[in-house]
Amino acid sequence: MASMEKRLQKELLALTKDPPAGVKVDSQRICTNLSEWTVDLEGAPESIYEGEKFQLMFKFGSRYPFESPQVMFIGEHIPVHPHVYSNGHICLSILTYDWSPALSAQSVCLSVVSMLSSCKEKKRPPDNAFYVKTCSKNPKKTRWWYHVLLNKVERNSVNMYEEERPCDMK
Amino acid sequence: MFRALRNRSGLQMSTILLTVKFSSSCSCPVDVDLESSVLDVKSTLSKQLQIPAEEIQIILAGRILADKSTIKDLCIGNCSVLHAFTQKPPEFDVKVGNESADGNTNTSVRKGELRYQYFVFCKECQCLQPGKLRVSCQSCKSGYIILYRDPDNFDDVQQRGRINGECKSEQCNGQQREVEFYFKCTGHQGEERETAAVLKHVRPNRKHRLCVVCSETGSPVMVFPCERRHVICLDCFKSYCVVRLNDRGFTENENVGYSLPCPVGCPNSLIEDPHHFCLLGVDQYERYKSFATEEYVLQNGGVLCPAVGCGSGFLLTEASRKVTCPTCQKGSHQKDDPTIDNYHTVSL
Repeated sequence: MASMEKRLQKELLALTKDPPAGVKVDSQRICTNLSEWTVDLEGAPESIYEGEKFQLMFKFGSRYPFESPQVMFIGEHIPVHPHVYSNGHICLSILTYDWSPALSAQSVCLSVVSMLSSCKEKKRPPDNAFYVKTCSKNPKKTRWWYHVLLNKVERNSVNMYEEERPCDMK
Repeated sequence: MFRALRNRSGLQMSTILLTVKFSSSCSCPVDVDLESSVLDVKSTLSKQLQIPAEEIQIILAGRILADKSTIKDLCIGNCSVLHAFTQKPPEFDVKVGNESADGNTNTSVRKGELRYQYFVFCKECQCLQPGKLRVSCQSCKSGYIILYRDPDNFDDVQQRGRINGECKSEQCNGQQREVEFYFKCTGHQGEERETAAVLKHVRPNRKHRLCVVCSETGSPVMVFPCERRHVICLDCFKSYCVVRLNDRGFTENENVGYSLPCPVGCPNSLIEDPHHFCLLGVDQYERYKSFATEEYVLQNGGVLCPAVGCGSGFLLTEASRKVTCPTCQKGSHQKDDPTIDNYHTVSL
């Protein structure tokens, strides 16, 4: 538990100090409850979401970072996107199956921003109406089915603690 | 003089008892001060055995010890066994020049070994312990062997036949022999030939590299064999393994068995030796072993017995829709049970 709080402190600091383009965190508000974050996103310039504002909610469980955080869009404005359901749930492989403890809130933000920026057409997922009626409140309880292409794209976007050089035996 | 003891907490006193073996029939116990040098040990031996000190050569872990090095430098514990042989002065004179040069290299290599620490999982202590590398002759299994060169990496140590040495035992009588390496735990005093499993991915964290999970700089750490050599601290390693074990998220690999990749997901980063999972503790390691076995059985076309409380895995030799579990003898007479039939139909 202590290691989770320490790690979240560090991540929050990194995200406030050096946020990816279009990402804004209100660290003051988060400090009161470290395990639940709200992050403001802005559609990237020259993407179809240019100028639009969204809110992303992160919930970190006690086994974070070994288990993925629960991440979804909240608020009035949910982006219209083929991988985002109208209740805010996001179909993104790193949020469940492809999660690794070496990923971070920052890498999730980056992935979501790049997912929005690469979109060419605003539309909801084809099964939106059915899913929203039947799903659990927690998107992690959904069994997601990912496209291979999406997996590949997201796996690349990693990680905050890269090593400069391999170390030798001696 | 009081006999020094090195107890489990590592508390060390000033003298220790060494046994110096000259041959299978001749060995001398010596009480030595930690500050005393190898030469002091030799002169003690020379008094006991009536051999000139210059004729005695002492071997530890494949190297002739230099006169100058102290017992403390050698990092040997109480009750250690050293090997020795005698060499006549004429021969020795030839070696004098070498000896001084060798002496220097020996001490520097010794320092090298201190700097690079090995870690072992000790079954006796049931935990991770610093380990020490020891060598023996492949032919006579004794420690009278002197290495031609020091090992540079783990392959030298783990693959047979890469390093040879000269064995000074009565049986081998100075012949060239293959060297066998093994590791011992430094945490307790065991038998001379007691070995411990070396954990090749566990290293001291001298460069203060960050754990990819918690970004702390603890030591020792696990270094994954991926190209970037990602580092994870041992606490995070345990949590990482247990969470992945709960999800049955390990990978079954033909060469390395049931293992985990680096948390960043790099290619070719699987942990190469399952002994590392001993670090998870007895219960989790048992779970790991049963999951690994099940996975192996299923991947190789075997089935698991569906009888309640059995669950034995067995490989099928011939394709048949009806098998008997060799452990609980159930299966064939339960053929009407739809679950069994379905199960086998699916598996075959």
